[in-house]
Amino acid sequence: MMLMVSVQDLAEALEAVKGRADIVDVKNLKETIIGSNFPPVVREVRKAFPKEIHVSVTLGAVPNQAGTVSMAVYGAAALEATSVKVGLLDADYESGLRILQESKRALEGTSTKLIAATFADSHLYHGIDPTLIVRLGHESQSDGILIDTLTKDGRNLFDFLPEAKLRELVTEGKEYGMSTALSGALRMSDLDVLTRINPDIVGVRGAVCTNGDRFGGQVNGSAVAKVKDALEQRLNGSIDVYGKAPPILHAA
Amino acid sequence: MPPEPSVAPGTAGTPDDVVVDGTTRECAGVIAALEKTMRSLPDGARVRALIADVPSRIDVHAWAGRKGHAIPFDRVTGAHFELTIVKGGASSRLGRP
Repeated sequence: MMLMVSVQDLAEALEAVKGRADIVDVKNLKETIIGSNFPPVVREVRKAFPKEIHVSVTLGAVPNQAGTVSMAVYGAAALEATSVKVGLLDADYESGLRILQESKRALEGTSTKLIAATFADSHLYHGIDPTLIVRLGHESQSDGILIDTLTKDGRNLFDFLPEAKLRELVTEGKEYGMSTALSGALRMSDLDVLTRINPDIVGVRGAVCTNGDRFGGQVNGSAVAKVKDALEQRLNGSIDVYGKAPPILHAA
Repeated sequence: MPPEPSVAPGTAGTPDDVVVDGTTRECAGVIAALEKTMRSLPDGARVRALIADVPSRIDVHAWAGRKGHAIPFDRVTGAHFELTIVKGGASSRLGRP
């Protein structure tokens, strides 16, 4: 499981990598909660790290305009982003699919991966059903899926979708060959359940910011390292997250 | 402790086995890689999977169970797990030692 840290500038990206983040996710919190940052910022962050450090670009909850979105996706590829995240909110299934299909087409000939995203709390915004993400991702031939949240009022991902449903979506996404990512105001205390769900990527910001403040705080390398250490302890089994788990069913 | 997948005695991988390395830093994980690999192989084919961590090992056992593949061999090698998976082996018993 890779650790993704949302950053707003190069200084935060350097802190994230100092704390052993695997992915720095460039966004701009001043322009909506999960808005896009400016191309020079993305370029600066990309140039600061080797390719082993993934740099993703968030486009946020995108407008329901396939042409506009695919052009932005193309821009992310031109900046050599490892991946670009297209968040669907104000779209029905068909228009969301078209946005993703055109985004995928815009990435032809590049190495940038397309990540289709929905929001676990989208019902609060009359948005698209987040559980459609696996079908949307598969049908659009996206490289990965992400489930995030828009609400940043103290509630987080698990207030909107239960562990069992998230695990089902992650498992299904993996079996379609996609990367799977979860984020949404995740905290250190969520690491046990996240490990049981086992997405390929877990994304954080507030949990690694000074004072735990995703808006006013800054990404702190020591806080990132603390989350990374805690995650690694769960991945290597030195911290048990399963308890009395049911036996694994398989026929050997 | 995490649940221990129950594994029948078996043999380690052979040089002819297809290898899926789930220890690399790829966004799409080992299940995605195994799905793609298994689609291209005939029933009875053996795949040696290198697994980076405990949750992924559990995932692979659960996945193999759902798909009807057998895991006759599972061991810890250094910092990762090494599993031998036999395509369709759970139903046909092909590849069993």
